[in-house]
Amino acid sequence: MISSKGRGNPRLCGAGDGAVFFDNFSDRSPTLRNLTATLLGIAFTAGASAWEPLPPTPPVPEDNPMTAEKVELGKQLFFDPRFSATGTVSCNTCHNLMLGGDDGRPTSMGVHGLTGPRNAPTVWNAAFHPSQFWDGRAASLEAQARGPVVAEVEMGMKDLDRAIARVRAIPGYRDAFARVFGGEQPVTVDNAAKAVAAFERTLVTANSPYDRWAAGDKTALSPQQVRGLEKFAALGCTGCHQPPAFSGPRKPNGHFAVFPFNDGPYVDRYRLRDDIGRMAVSGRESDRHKYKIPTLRNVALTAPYFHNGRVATLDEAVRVMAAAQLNVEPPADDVADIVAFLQALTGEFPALTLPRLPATPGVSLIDP
Amino acid sequence: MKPQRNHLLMALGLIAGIAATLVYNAGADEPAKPDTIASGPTAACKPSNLAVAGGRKLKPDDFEEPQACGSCHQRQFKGWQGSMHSLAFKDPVLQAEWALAYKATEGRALNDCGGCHTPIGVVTGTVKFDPTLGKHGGFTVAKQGEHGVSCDVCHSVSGSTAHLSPTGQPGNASIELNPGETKYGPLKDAKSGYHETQYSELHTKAEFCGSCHNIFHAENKFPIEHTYDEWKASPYAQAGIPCQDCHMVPVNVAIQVADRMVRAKDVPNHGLGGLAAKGSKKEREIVHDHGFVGGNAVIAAALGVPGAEEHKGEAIKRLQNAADLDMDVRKGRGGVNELVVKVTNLRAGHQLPTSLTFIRRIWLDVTITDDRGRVILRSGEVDDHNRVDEDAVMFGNRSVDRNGKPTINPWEIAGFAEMNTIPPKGHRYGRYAFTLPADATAFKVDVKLNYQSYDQKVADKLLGDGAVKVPTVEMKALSRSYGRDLKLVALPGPVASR
Repeated sequence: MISSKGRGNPRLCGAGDGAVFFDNFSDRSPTLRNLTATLLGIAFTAGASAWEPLPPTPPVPEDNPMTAEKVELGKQLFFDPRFSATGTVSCNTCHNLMLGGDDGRPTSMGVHGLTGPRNAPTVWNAAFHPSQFWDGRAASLEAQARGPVVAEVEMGMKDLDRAIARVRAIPGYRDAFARVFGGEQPVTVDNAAKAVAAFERTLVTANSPYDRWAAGDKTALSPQQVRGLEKFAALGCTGCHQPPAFSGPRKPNGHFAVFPFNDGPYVDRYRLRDDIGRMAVSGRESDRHKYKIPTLRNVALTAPYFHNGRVATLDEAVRVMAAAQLNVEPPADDVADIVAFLQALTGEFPALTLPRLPATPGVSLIDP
Repeated sequence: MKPQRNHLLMALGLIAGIAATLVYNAGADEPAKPDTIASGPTAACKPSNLAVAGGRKLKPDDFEEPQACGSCHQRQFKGWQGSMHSLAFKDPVLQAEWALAYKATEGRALNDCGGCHTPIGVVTGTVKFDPTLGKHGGFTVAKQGEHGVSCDVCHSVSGSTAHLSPTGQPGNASIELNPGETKYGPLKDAKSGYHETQYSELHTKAEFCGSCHNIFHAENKFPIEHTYDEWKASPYAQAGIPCQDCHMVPVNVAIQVADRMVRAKDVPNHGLGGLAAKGSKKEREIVHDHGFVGGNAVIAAALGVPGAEEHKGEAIKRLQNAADLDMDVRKGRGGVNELVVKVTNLRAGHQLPTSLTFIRRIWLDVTITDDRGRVILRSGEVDDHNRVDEDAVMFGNRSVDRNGKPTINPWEIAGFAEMNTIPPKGHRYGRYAFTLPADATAFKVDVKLNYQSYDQKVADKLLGDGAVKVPTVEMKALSRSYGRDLKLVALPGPVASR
């Protein structure tokens, strides 16, 4: 057995345990293999595709460590509609955690029945995303959490000061912020964003059939799903939707891809180029029609599809992606296999209890 | 009967004096301290010539994982996986040699070797020496750096720093890296939805490969490895055939390139056309292999990495097609007969051997047997300890330190005392004297040209006794039978050559 124990070097790369891999190749020089592993403390990845299971916890930034109280506070804020202009819209309105973490609408509806330009991405596993929003304009969950509160068509508050003033007006929140963050004035936009982000980092759906398969249970996927997985990789889908989160790579400045890349009938049919994507925030021509690469985890639960939500079904979404990005028209069998595989990315949803929200007895915070 | 051993005439063409004139002590250069990564990434890369565009401070995450590239560039990834480029950092032989160098140079070898073996580790400052690893110590690096010369090393190269090297020629990691959304490559009209693309003429040229396949001693500036310089002086350079045309195509095509002396794209029916990536629309004239196969048939196979057997097979095939053998037997002086073996560098665009010419071993294994089955000459035998007879005709260079003392430690080398590699399209001879017993009426000559990546003693020293048995690859074999009158009796031409 190869072990990295005692060498202070935890950098074993890849999905598999190196020991298992090497043991499968017993006809080769065992001495050199052992020696190399001992020497370097590194293993050798076993195949072309690193089919890794989703880690149980996402990356956590150093300046926002996770605590149970902070997560609970974030959960309250996530479900609390009082920080929207009308008192009707919370994060959960568009990112419904009792479903797939989205709202099932082509584009979301915020205060006063207003709708925005883009489809609500799922918040489940968003903590694994290298950047947030379709155009990646937020580098972190903390940065993302500030956006919707003041978006006119979402929660519709005039500014963040007014929103945080409402939080501050609630005694229960004042106490909770003080317990979690301390300091003279703990109820700040920054801290609220940190609490919401900390909660969102618990929204992980691991242990999907795919994850169990990747962890070694080869019965977890049906033969059709395994075929779908192989076709998914062979077509080139993993180029962007990289395991284990099936989103884009984690880059210091985010990573963005052009959609749609190819011309074709789908572009007009689904108005895929109406939105200029990231160019709208960066101003750079090279960012035209670029988006972050969304996760495919739980994709079966988040119809309709794409940034504008104009594609209603998963099989049509697969056909659109194959044509628009990879210049292929997969036969119906392949589409069915890939859809079957995508269904295997539906994870186990942790039990969630709705939080009691701190009340303001005898008073309403919502402007009439 | 005991084989004779006193018959050797040394091979021709040694010009010991030249090497001596190349040796001088530098001493003027202030080598960078290993642990002071202070003033920006460029400074941190010294003494290698590695640089970062704009002096950016880079993190490991700035570089793409090979697996990600491989999802679309499947053919290229398959070739790279298990290649020596993919093992440039993990190779245990390198690790041990580098560790010895590190200790002997008080750490100056960290970036010196690392510049080519883990460019990502060097530019991110994440490569570290760990004395507790292995027999001599070893190195750790951020995950991205473990992949050695990975996709995003070469395809982030935005320029050359060859002007920094002692002769102005490429060498010592003379590349500028600019990782990020733009990938640099040889296609003028490449388009990708995943990354930006930038045409780079450098990627089409031998100078690109020369950035690492040309190595000067960091302090005394002696050209320790000069594969690029060898190519530059060869007929291949004159014919405009760069490294890529042989080492980024299958062996079968490389053979055609060398035999016809044409570019790979001009080899009829090369069969290398196709799409450069999944989802591409445009058929390319050539999609290059990314296996970069040379002569190393040891490491990948011994480690059992994915793709190892293919690489081993290609390396052996390449070795078996690099050279040719011929022989002649004639009357020498005083009743002694002379066997002359001619070794031609048929298809390598650089010397044979190249790179670590003082460590790689190409030698002649010669047996002369008379018609009664008596061995009357034996040279170049591999003994029970996998060691080659000291008197064998060996093609390589003999390296010495600043005092002229033999050494094969790259950090000590200050010159070559003998140079005996075989130039491209050129040849060298092995000469042997022998006498026939009075009652012999005929004899047979069996010649083999053999290759080892390194001597067993080197492997034992670096990895520990018996850790790996260095394989001997038979590059070529030729057998002929002669009568007592030294006339050919068997069929002329190669009998057992492959």
